[in-house]
Amino acid sequence: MGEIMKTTCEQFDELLDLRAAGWLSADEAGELERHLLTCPSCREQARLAEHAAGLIGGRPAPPAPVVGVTALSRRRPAQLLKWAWFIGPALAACLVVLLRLHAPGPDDIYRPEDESHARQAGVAELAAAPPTLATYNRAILLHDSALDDVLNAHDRSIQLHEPYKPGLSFPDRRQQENRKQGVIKS
Amino acid sequence: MDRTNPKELLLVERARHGDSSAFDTLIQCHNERLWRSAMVLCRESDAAKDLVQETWLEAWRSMPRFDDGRAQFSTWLYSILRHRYLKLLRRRTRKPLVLLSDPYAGAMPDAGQPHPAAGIHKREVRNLLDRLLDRLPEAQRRVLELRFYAEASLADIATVLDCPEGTVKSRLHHGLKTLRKNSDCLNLLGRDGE
Repeated sequence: MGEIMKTTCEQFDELLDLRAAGWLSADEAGELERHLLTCPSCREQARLAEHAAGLIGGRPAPPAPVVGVTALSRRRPAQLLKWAWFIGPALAACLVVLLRLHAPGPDDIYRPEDESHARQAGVAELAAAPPTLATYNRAILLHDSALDDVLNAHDRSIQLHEPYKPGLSFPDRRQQENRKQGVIKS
Repeated sequence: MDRTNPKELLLVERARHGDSSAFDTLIQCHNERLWRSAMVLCRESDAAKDLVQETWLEAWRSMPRFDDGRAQFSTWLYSILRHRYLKLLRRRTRKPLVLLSDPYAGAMPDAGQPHPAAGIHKREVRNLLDRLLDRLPEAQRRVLELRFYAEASLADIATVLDCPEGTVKSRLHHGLKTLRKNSDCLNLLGRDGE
């Protein structure tokens, strides 16, 4: 009899757990309930199964994320990060294009001969101007040797408190001071 | 809600035609279970949050292709969850996530080994259930948690775990049976885990 009961209890063992999960058919549930009425051991096992199920289900859960269609339609930063590898090269390409667009054109390129022509034109203009202090001040500002050229054109010379030192880098502070003090004379 | 629920059928039909408010209602109905299922799979809230959002996003995009004659909405949703979870796993292989506990910590102790409840202080009692579950094989733990924690249906669990329903039942039985063998541990725990 005991062996028969054991076999019967083993047969119901799985049904005890499926009962806790709510996965029994009506026939299985009826058969199990009839057995439980007569078997205290299986009743205890059924109680334990339901207790375990309740414990697992009763564990606290973190609050669920708020999800809505509006929120879903916005791309999240994490998704944008998928394209992070692309952002660097893309920015570099944009920078290259911008630099290319703003690069100096053929007319913007510096040519030393252009500056030389401008200087010669400036000297010629000053040579034609009256031999005044203002003319020579403009010549000083033009370039290093412009003053000499203009003075030669006017057939004049200058007298300085100190000996004139040709070849001083321009703008020379001494020349500027002399000009302020009005020591440049015709 | 299930396939026979006319309210859900109506909501699904409206959502299929682009009704965002109907889809929002579906989200409200299923989000908690989906979130808990994602927590069971990921065991990490940030990853689970991403998984839930990606699942809903994919569901919203694929809504016009949903065929309610083939599957319930929740089962279809769980198939998306599984798909997105596998993608998450592939990303995880590149950048591993930190697991809160080792799911392969081994089986429950035999009768000859020290009992898990031995020497447990009161403050540790609340962690006892987690320790018991962590000692189950991963497949059994997932079925138990998906059923009792996430309240997923048999079909949904079979879908998300990609196994037959009979296998799901078998895993649930073996998992619960192992827990039942630790009756004194279970009895230590109250209904609310204290």
